[in-house]
Amino acid sequence: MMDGARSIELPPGQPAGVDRGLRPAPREQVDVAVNATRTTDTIVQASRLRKVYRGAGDVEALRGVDLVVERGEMLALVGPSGSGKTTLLNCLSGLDRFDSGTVVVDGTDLATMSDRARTAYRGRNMGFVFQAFNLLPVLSAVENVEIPLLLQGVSGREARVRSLEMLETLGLAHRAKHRPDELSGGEQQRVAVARALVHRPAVVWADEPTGNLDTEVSLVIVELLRRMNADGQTIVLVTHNPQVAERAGRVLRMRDGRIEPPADQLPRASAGA
Amino acid sequence: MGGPAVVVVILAVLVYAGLAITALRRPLLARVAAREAIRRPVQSLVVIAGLTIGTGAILGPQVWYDSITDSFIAAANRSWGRVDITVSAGGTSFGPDVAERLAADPALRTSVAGVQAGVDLVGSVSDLDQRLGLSAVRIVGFDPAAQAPFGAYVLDDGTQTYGDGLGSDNAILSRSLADSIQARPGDTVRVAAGSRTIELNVAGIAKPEGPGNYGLRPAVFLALPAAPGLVGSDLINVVWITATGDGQAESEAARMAAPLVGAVLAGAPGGPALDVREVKADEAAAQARYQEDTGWVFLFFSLLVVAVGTALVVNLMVALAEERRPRLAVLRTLGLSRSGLVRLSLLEGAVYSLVASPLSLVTGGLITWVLFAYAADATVQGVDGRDIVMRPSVRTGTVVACLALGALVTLVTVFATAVRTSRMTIASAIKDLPEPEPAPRLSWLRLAGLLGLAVVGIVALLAGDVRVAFVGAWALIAVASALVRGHVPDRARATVVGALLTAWSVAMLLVYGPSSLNLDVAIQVYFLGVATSVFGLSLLVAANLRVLEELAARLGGVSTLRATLRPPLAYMTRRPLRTGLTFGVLGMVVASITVWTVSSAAVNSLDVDRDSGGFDVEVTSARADLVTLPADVRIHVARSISIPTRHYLGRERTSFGSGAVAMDWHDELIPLYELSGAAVGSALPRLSQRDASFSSDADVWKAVASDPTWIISSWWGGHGGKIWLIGRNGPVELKIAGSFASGLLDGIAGSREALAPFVGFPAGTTLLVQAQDGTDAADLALQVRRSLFAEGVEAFTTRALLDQGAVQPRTWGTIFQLFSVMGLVAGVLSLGVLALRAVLERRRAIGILRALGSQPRSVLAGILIEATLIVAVGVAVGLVAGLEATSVMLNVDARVTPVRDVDVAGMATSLAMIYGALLVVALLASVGPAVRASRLSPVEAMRPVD
Repeated sequence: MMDGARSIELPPGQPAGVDRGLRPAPREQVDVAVNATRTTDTIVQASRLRKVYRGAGDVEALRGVDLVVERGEMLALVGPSGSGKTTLLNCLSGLDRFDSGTVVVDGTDLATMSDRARTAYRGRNMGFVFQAFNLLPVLSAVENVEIPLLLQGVSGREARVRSLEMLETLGLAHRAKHRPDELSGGEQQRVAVARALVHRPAVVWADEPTGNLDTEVSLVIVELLRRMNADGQTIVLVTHNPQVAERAGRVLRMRDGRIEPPADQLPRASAGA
Repeated sequence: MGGPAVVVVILAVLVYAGLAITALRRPLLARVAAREAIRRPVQSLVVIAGLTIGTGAILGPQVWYDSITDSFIAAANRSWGRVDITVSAGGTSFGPDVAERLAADPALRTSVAGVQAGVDLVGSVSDLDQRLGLSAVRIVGFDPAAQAPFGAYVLDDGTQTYGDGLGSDNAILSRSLADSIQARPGDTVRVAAGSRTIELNVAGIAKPEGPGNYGLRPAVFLALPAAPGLVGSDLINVVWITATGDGQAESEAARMAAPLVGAVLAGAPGGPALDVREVKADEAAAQARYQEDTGWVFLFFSLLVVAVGTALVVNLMVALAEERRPRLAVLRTLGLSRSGLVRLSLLEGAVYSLVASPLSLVTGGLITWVLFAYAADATVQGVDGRDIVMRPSVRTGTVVACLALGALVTLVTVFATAVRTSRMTIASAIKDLPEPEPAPRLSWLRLAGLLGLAVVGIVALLAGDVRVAFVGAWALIAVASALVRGHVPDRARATVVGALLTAWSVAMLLVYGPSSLNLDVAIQVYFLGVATSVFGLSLLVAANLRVLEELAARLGGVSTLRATLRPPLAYMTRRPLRTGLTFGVLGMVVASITVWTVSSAAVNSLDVDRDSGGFDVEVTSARADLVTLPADVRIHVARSISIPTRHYLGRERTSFGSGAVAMDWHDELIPLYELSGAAVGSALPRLSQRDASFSSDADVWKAVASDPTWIISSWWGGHGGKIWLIGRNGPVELKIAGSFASGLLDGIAGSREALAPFVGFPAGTTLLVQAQDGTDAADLALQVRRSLFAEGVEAFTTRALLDQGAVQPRTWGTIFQLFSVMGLVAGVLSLGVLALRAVLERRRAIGILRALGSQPRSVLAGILIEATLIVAVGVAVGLVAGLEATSVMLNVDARVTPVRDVDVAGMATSLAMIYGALLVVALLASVGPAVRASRLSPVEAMRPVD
């Protein structure tokens, strides 16, 4: 594989596209240059992050993690189950509290923020994509996408326009009024991606975004994330899937609550297309 | 609508207004709330049904209570007809010129519509044609010339009369008197008052309306010209005054007129000695106050139903919150604040509450209807012997306040649930994982709060009031529990807290119960004890259900059963507080039913031999001379006691042992039994209640004989209760030493000295008769009545009188049992909801079990076993707590009332039937959700999006 440029390879025998509106390009067209300009602007910085789960026997999920994520980067966290990937993502994104250390996102220290401030910050600056999609079943696709905008006080009319635009971008305009239970897994995850991006967050956090999807649809979602990253969107994702990981600009491996030193065979790639 | 009701309504309006503003300003929250509310119609229907029952449980008893209050006030008003003010001289006679002077005074013309001289006596009436008599009859002598402003008598044949043609030979009988002696127009009746007798022709029977209702008792109305034959002179003993206007205008005019009448009389010879009273307003106010003061008992029992209804709502809301936790976590992830989440939940709760409110009118109406159907007639029977009719009274204020209270209870519950949910760990909630264990850290703020609570608990414990001390101990136990949280295993903590609560309740009942013979305090301590025991025991059992789980685990050879039992037991043992609350709610209802069943059987069971003192017949005569039984009757009599009896007709006031006024000054007809030394020496009926100052009946009799301030009264206000009557020289305070069983010697019994202030009232006689062995008491009573009818003598068996006396306590028992049953219905519904909640919460778990090979029948059995276990533990806990409290209190009561023989087998059978039915109904309520769970497709159940 070339350093600085990789291509998405669809599985042999698979059709080039499975979902309307986001048809993966033929192999020769999806080569992506990843050695574009790399910014040196840090957006997330974690220092000596420690997190303990309490119970019958305390479990130290994070053991002093140091991490820097740069603006516009697409970072993949990989590692075996129980290595602390999701915990790290939850702590970095402000979903969960940590026992010690600091997390600074875009200059703001999450540890010092009240729950209220952290919630507001999360709403404005972060987007989330989950393995289980986590769409609200009572709302239609477009209504799900609108949520972050409405929570920020954007007017209903504008929120609707921007959400439809986002769904249009992701090829789901025709499914806008459908409820989650009327959508396929891939469509649900694309709605979730639309919801994560619609308010133009500083960082998108994706926890096993392809965990519930088959290989073909997984690649579509990853391609989608790559396209967003190419447009400058910072993305941090947790995955078990090597095919997904290798499409990230940088891959960090976790084990026993720590980040392993970068391996030579996983070159550090620049973000951006 | 009283102050608290207004506050409740204002609060509800403010809360709803706030929520409406929130909905307008945050349309996303309103949209999600509305969609959640309609997403699962069956689930929403269950929630609304639960709220409807809860609110109906608040509304029904309050409408019933209003109905009682209004019916008694209406009876007070009806008993006075158009009479607003009376002028009297404490039962003694005065000249009719007083009425003439008042009628002629120009100062009274604007506020007074009519003045009438009258005679108001108590005596006996015998129908010489029907050969039946009745004593204690109101004899009302009125002035036909002045009757018009007071209204016309409406006779049975429809004619109306002011009494113009009655003359001195005719009389009108009230409907109730005519019924008692089977009198008809044209009959001759003999009317006796004291030693005087006249005979009159029955001109008509008055319908119970207008002046025909006067006194609401059996009455004979005669024209004043006939009165001298009974009074012995032309003097009168009352002047009736009616005010101008009707309704409220009449009341206001009467209020204006009363001081003017006093002023007119003050300047007249003999006038200052006369007593001017606003009788109608005073009596209505006394009734209203009495109902208000005793209303807490009602409220208390309706609160039981409300508590169960609230628990149902809590269960529903917790179920909804559990089900929605992952979705709410998504919203939190996307930037919804904790307060936003709470507002979202409140909006959804408000939707349910709004739908449930109008429906609650139906359930509330149904509950009221049940109360009327079972208890309306009995409630008013035997109330001072008056003809009171129970009518439903629906006050708009009450309805609005109850609906507002129901809505507030719902929203407060939703609020508490939502606040708890909002504290979720988002990362766990979003994956529907349990909340991680919190760090055992105690913030300074929390520590300060706990210390504050501890101080409050200690102060309450030392405050000297047993009820406050009870609550103080709860606070201290809660503080201790919170302090060791995280340092001691939860199971051990819950076990210790449960044991402490139970031990505390037993100790309080044992230590304070016997000494708190003050009736209202004793009842409150009693219920606090039951509630504490129930929740203590519930927690104790819930925390140790693991024993059952371990037993299930050891069912080595029966692996299918083990697999079936394990999941429900595991769910119950992992959440001891929630499981304990579920047991507790059911246990509280079961304890309540147990308490009433056992104590009613023990206290209210009729023991004629014991209560009657061996006497079989009570004979009453309105004549002062001794009742002389004819020889053919005497041969059936083994022994008899003659008790001189006066009929007090005047004002009465009563107070409870606590000193609180029970019934303020109002008019009453009370027989006064004069107990001579001989009567006391012979075997009088045993006392059913005794003041705590006395250790035996003999001590009571000794005190009554030697101290004129002590009397025996049929009205019992607990240790320290008192009665005031108006004697010759003003109010006389009498201390109640004891009480006969209700129905027997109904009135006040005391020594000659104690009753001396009331010698001006007409004298009569009461004869207690013990029949010879083999003589039928009913036959003897009939024989006495037939042979002495001409003297207006009436005779009833003591069994009939005691039966009649037991109607009221029995009715109250019925009402309270009805409340308990309502609580039970709500409790059973809760079980159905719990089963539904189990299915909702464990949808995925059920799917996994099914995928792993669990048969549908195992899933079904698991949910039904859980329901059975809840009922079994609830019944066990309730039974133990109920029996414990009842046993303690009956032993206390035994110092006052020897516990009668109780039909233990019968009582146990009825309890077993109730609890068996409870189990069956609970299973039926759980079958639906259980079947639903068993039919879940594993794939569907495990789908991430439902």
